[in-house]
Amino acid sequence: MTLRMARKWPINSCSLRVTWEFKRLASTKADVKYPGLKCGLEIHLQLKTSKKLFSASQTSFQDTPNSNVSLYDVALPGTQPQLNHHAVLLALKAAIAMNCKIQNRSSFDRKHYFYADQPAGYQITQFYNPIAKDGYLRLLPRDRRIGDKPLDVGLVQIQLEQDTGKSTYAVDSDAAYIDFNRTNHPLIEIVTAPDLYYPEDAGAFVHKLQLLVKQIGVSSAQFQAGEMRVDVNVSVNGGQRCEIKNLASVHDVVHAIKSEYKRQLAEEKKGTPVTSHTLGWDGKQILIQRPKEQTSEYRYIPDPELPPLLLSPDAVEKVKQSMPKLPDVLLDELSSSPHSLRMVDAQTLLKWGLVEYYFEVVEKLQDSGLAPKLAANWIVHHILGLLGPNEEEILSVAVTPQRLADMIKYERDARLSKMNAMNIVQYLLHTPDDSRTVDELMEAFDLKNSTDQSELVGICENVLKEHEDAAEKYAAGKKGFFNFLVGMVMKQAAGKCSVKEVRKVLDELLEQRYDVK
Amino acid sequence: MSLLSSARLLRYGSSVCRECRLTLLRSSSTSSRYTPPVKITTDEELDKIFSEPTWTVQSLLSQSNPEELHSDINPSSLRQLLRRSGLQFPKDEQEERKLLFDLQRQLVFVDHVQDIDTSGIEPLNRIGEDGEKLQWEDLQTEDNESEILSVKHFSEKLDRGYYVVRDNSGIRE
Repeated sequence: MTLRMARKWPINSCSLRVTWEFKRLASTKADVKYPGLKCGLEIHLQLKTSKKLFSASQTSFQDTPNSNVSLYDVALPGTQPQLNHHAVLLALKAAIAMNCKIQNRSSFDRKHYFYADQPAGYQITQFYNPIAKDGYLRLLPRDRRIGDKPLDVGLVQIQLEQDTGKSTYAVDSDAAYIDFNRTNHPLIEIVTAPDLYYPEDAGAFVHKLQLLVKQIGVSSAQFQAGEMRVDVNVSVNGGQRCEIKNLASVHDVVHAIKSEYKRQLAEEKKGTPVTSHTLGWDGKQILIQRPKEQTSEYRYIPDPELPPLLLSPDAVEKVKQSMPKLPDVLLDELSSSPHSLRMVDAQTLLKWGLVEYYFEVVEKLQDSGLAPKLAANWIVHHILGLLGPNEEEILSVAVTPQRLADMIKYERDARLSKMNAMNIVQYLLHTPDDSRTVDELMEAFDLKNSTDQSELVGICENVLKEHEDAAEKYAAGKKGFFNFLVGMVMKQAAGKCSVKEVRKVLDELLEQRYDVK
Repeated sequence: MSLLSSARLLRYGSSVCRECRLTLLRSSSTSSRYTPPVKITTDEELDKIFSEPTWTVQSLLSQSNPEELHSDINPSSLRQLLRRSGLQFPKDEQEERKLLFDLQRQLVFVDHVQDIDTSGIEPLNRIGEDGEKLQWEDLQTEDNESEILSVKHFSEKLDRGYYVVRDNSGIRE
C-alpha cells in the first residue's frame, strides 16, 4: 500500500476561520457608538447529560424522531418527575465558573403556556428560587470587546429547566410535525443584567460563554445542533424593551441588535412610542411577531411534585475544587513563557478543545530542546485543516502525542518532510486502529527523506526545464514563482526531501542560470 | 379570626396539629368586627370554635360593587384569560355576562384575602417535608429509578415518525 500524495493544504484552515470570525465581531470601529443602547441576554444552554432532566430516557440529537421518549416526556397522567442529579452538577459548574452565589436551597416552578411541543401545558423551570444568582462574566480586550478595558457583565441568575420538543411546519398545510426527543432535555437559562452597550460586546459575551462551557465540560454549546439559543432584550434611550428570540449564531446576535437599534431609533424620530414586542430575525431583518407576554401571563406556581433542591455545603465546595482551569487562566498560561504562543493560536487550541493534547505533545518534546510553540504551529496551522467534522475528538487517539512529537523531531532533523508528515496524519485519521510507530510507518510507506544530493539536484534541474516560463518570471522579479517551483520539486520527489534543502539547491541553480539571488 | 386563617382551617380542619391551630388563631388580620382574644386551653374549646362559622363569602361580597371595583375584567380581557387557560369561549352574550360577573365577584374575594398583612411570614409553597441534601457522591450519577417506557405502541398515529398537529394556534413562549 502506498500513501497518496498529500492534497493541497485547505485554504480555509481552522486558524483562518477563527481569525475571520474575530474580525467579523470587531468589524465596527471602536469609535462607532450606539448612544442610548442597552442590551441584556437570556441564553438557553443544553447540558451534556446522557439522560433527560426528569426522566430516564436518553438525550439525543438527530436520532429517529420520537425514538427517545418516555411516558413522562409526553406527560401521560400518572407519571412523575425524578430529578437527574448529574444535571445539577453541570449547572453548579457553570454557576461557579461565572462567579455566581450558589443557592443551597432552590426550587422548581411551573411556567404555563399551551403549545403542541409542550405536552404537559407547562415547562418546569426555576423562576422564584434559582440554583444560582448574582454572578458575572468578565470580557477582556482579547475577547474582542469594544474598548481596551475589561467589562464585567452581570448575571442575574442561572436556572435549571426543561427543553421543549421540536416542531417542524409544513409549507403547504396547517400541519405541525412534532418530535419529542428534545422534550425534557436539561437546560440552564443564563440571564444577564442589561450591561451591554455595544452589539459587538454582546457577540463577544456569547462567544466567550461558548468557550467557557465547552472547556468545563458543561455543554458543547453548538448553535447548529440547537445546544445554544440566544434571546436578546434591546432598549434605546430608556424606552420599552423588545425581545429578539432564538438567535442561532454570534453573527446573528450582533446584526440583529444593530437592526433593532436602528428600528427603535427610527420609531423614536417619528414620534411613535416603542411598544414591548417579541421579535424574530430572519438573517436580514427584524420581524415583529407578537406583543411581549407579561410575567403574570405564565401563571408561575411552585411545582407540587418536586421537593426543593437542597445542596450540602460540602458538595458545593467539592464541585469548586474539582473545576478544571478556566479559559482565561489557560490563555494567560499559553501566551506566557515557556509556551509564548500567539494569542490567536492559544484561542484556537481552546476553541477546538486541544489544549490538553498540546500540553501532552509538549511534554514529549521536552528532551528535544525544541520550542513548545512548534507543537502549536503544527496543530493549529497544519493538522486542524485536515480534520473533518468532530474529528478533533479522535485526534489524540489517532495521532497520539508521541507520534506527533516524533514527526516534529524528524522534520526538524530533515528525516521527514512536512508534506509526508501530513500524509501520515491523514492516514492515521482514517485508520485510527493502526498502532505502528512513526518510524514503522515511514519504513512501510517509504517516506524517509532521500539523502542523495545528486538525486535532488537532478529533480530540481528537471523542474526548471519543465517550467522554464515560471523560472523566467521569477528571474524577472516575480518572487512568488519561487514557491511554485519548490512545490513542483516536492511533488516530483514524492515529498521525500527537506524543503530547506530544496530551496537551497533551487537558489543555487537559479543563480547560475539567471544570475538572480 | 383572620380570613386567611379561616380559609386554611376550613380546608385542613382537624388534621392540623394543635400547635399550628393556635398559631393560625393568633395571626392578626382584617376582620369585620373586633373580638377580644380568648384564652384557649383544651382541644374541646378549639373544636367548639371551629364548629361555628363566623363569616361567609357572601357576607364579603354584599358589601361591594364588583363591576366597579374590577372594570379591567371586560370581554377582551376575559377572552385573553380563557385563551391562556385553554378554556372555551362563551357560547353567547348571556354566558359571557355571567362569566364576567362571576369573575368580578371572585376577585372581590381575592381582594379581601390580599388585605391580610403577611409581612414577615415565610410563604408556604409546598406541603411536605424537605428531602435529604444532595452530597458530592449523589451528583456523579444519572441513576433514575423511573422506568423507561417506550411510546412505540402509538406508532400507528405517527406520520414518518412525527406526531402531527393541525391548526396549532397555541401560544408560543
